[in-house]
Amino acid sequence: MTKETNLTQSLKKLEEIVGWFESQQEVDVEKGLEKVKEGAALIKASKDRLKKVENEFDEVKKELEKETEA
Amino acid sequence: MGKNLLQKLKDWRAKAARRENVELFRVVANQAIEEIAAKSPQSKADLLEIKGIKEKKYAKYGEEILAMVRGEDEFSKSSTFGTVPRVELLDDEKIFEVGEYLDFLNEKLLDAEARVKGEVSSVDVRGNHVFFSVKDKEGESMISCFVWRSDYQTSGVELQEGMEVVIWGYPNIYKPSGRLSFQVKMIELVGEGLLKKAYEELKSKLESEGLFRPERKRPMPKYASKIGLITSHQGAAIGDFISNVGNYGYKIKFYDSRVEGKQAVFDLIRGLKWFNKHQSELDVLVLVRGGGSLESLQAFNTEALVREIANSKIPVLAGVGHEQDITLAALTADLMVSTPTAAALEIRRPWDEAIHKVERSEKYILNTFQNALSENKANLLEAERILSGQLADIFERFRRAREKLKNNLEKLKATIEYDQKYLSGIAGKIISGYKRLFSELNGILKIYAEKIILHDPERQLKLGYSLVSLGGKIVRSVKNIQVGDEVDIKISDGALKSKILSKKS
Repeated sequence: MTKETNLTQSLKKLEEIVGWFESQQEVDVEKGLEKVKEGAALIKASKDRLKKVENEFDEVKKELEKETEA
Repeated sequence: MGKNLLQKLKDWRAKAARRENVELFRVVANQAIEEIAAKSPQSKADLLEIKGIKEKKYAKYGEEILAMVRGEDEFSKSSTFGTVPRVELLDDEKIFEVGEYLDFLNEKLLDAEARVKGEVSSVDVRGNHVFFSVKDKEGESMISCFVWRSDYQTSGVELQEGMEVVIWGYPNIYKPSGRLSFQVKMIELVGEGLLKKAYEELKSKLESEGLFRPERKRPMPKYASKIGLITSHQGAAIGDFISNVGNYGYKIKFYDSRVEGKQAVFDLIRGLKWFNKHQSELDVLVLVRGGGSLESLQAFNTEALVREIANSKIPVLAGVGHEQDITLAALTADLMVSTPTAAALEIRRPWDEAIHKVERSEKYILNTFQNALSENKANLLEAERILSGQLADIFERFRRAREKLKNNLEKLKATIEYDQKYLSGIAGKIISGYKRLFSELNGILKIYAEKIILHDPERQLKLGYSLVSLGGKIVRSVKNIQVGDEVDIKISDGALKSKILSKKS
């Protein structure tokens, strides 16, 4: 769950950064650089999570199911 | 002894399976039963060595199995089916006792599991079970049926005389009466008409309960990663789902379930229960199967399954195809789509969108910042140019000022030096000047002194001269005096006051 929560949060923060740039009449280079650094980290984290990863597939062993009804 | 034990185990298993309304293998697999009979495990550790017996299974059946191995089968005396007989199967000389034989038969009869179609002829609902009989529409054949109340409810069919049904189960002999009855596990309605009617009735009932209301629906997780998949191992649905869901590192737990026919409802419910109990952290439960007729989709239109979906703690995504009516299971699910592929895409879409979002954000941020930088670069260059120009000017002025200052300082120095020399020169001159002056003055003073002495009026007075003054002023000319003026006359030994009587010049 953590990873996915992070992705959601990363994307949200990324959106905020985009929003910040959009809202600036004139981008302050120093602040802008900070935002770019932050954004780069978020982009990297998001891309890591979004790159193609083989799915894990495993079948539920039915013996275990007995206990569900116990 | 081994054979005896094997039979005992099999009898016990048949009972346990009936008791719990599950298939035999779900209690203990054949292979495990045989291994137990062969190895006669004496302890928990021994039993856990057997393939197919794990902690959980041991917790449930371990004590009973070990007791049977030890020959203590007291446990079974309280059972509905009586004591487990010691059957020597291969012993031709064997003479059964009645109960023993019926147990033997019941075990055999489990293999006669079947679906049987007929018309309901009598219904008797009692406590936790229901008795009814089913007969052929034409002809005399009839079979007595028995169904546990729970299975009856799962079936969701309210039996009425004359109703045509398909029953699914196996025959069983009730030992106290020796009567054979059909142990029904599932009741199905026959014919699209009846199915449709049952569907509509259940639908309006559930609808009035608000089970399909949008506000009941939970949102799908945005980035579903842990997925519980319930469908059949066979059929296209599983392939469609897997091949379309994308590779985002999902952890897919697959629960193999029948999806065809009404019996499927047991598996589907168990799957939902299992995931909710053991994998409650799952992001989503996906229930898929391809399209089908009302008959083949019966399981998805049973109240029991609908309730299970409604009670699921994990959000349920249904991708169940249909030919006409949307299944009630799908209507109850938190989200329904019409195919397994659509279900896969539903899970995949946010991930795909996230990729695009990240890429767009990346481009935007970098472009904007780069623009800001180049704008600033231009500004900086301009500022630098201006600044360096101004600085050059300032430096030049400073240089000149310094130069001037230096020159002036030098001048000043020279002046001071000159002045010093001059002053020290002057000082010398002054001193010698004064000396000369003094001596000159002395000379002059002497002369003056002599002259003063010489010209001392007192001395003149002594010589007989007198001084005449008028009003304190020495009278040097007659012009300054008038007749009648009173003048003072000073002589050497005193003063006289006289009046001018006449004047003559």
